[in-house]
Amino acid sequence: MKLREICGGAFSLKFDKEIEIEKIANLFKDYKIVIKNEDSIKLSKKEKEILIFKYGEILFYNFKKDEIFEILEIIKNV
Amino acid sequence: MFDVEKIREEFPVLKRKINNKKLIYFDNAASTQKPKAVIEKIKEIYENCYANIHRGIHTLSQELSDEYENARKIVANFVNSNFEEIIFTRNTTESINLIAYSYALKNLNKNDEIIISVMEHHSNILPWQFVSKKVGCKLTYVSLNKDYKINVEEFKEKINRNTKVVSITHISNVLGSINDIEEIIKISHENEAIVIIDAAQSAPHTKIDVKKLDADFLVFSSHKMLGPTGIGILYGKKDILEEMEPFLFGGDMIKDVDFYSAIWNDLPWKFEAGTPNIVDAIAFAEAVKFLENIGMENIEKYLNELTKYFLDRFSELRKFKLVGSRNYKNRAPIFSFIHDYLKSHEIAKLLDLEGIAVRSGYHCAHPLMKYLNLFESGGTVRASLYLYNTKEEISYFFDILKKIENNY
Ligand SMILES: Cc1ncc(COP(=O)(O)O)c(C=O)c1O
Repeated sequence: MKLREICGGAFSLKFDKEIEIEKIANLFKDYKIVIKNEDSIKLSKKEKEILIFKYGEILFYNFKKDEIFEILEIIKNV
Repeated sequence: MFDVEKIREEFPVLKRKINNKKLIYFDNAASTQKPKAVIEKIKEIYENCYANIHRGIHTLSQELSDEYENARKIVANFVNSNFEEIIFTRNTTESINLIAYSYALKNLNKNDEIIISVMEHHSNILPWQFVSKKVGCKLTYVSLNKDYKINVEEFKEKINRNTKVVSITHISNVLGSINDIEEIIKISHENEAIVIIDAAQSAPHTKIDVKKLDADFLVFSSHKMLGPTGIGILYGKKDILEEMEPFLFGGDMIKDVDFYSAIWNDLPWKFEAGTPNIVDAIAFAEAVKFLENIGMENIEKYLNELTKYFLDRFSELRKFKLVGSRNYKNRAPIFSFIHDYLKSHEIAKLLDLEGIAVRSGYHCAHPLMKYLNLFESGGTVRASLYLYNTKEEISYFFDILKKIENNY
């Protein structure tokens, strides 16, 4: 896993293999699913948004760094 | 004749595959790819004739000194300036900082004003915030007109006898707008303000003639016009440069040093302290020769054709909105756009999966994003084209955008 901060208030978390998007999406129970297709799932909760790509990347919008680190700990164990 | 296929042959990277797809490089406003002539020049120097310049009596040093100064001559001719008015820096950013430190900090006081626009890149904002805070002078912004260009009428209202510095971009790195710099320069001079033109995006696209423009300073970066990274240009009018103090102090920028004093070197070397980026400056001259062989007028004409085609195709989209002028005559091929609900990085990612490189986010222009109400939503996607791009690539790009429209 590699975490990168990108311009535009976002973080990218990249995996070196494909990921199970449903399984990851289930970790964010209090988020609403706004897009769902074969390749990706987009979740949102107020200003926060998460886009999970099957090819192995998750984009996080409007998260603080500490929040991302907490999420990382959870994702690591999936 | 402009033969794009022949031009593409000169760029080895264009043969690369990204995610098993042919690379389509649409991130030229960030940095351009390099032709073989530039890559080979760098290799040739390090293999055959490298040495430090200016100080050596030996053959290698003298040969490379001549090449370095010849590179300056080539760049000077390219923008129609005098030899001593071209200073090699690291990039546009350093060129503007040099002016801020060596000109503005020395010449401005608390009653003075600096004018910039809301569309500036951070590198043309932060040095002026610094000067303004340091000397206590006013920093004023000019906003945009409905064509997404700097509003000249508003500029006329804001400029006054206290305005000492006007620093504006020629072409916006976000919107592609081409500003009316001739008029802005004229008005600035009528008010006795000096003008700095940020030509980072225009020098790659259009013929620059500093004498005709009459700007006091003009700055640009090699890496955005086929040259290597680490080389920037500062053009300054000789009489102004002569009055300025050096920016950095050290070797090469002096004629003589005593225990407590020194005599500065002549222009342009007064502003080039320490060992310069010799090899990349010479390689940049190769990039300039490459552009000149094609002809800046031909490049501009071709890019204008691509602009028109891109805008025509853009009107087919339903969920994407262009942020910038739809008038192809008045803009460069730098296109910012947003999607109804996908974020800029999501689009950029989806394009990357298809081999297309675009930029997403704020493009080092937070104030512009805030002005356009695009900050909270994460900025724009930016596709920026250059001379090796083709209509076929644009067509494929729009096929992918339509696929995204259908899937999301
Ligand atoms: C308009 C404009 N000005 C200044 C810069 C800064 O250039 P550099 O990073 O080469 O210093 C850029 C780079 O994107 C730009 O587009």
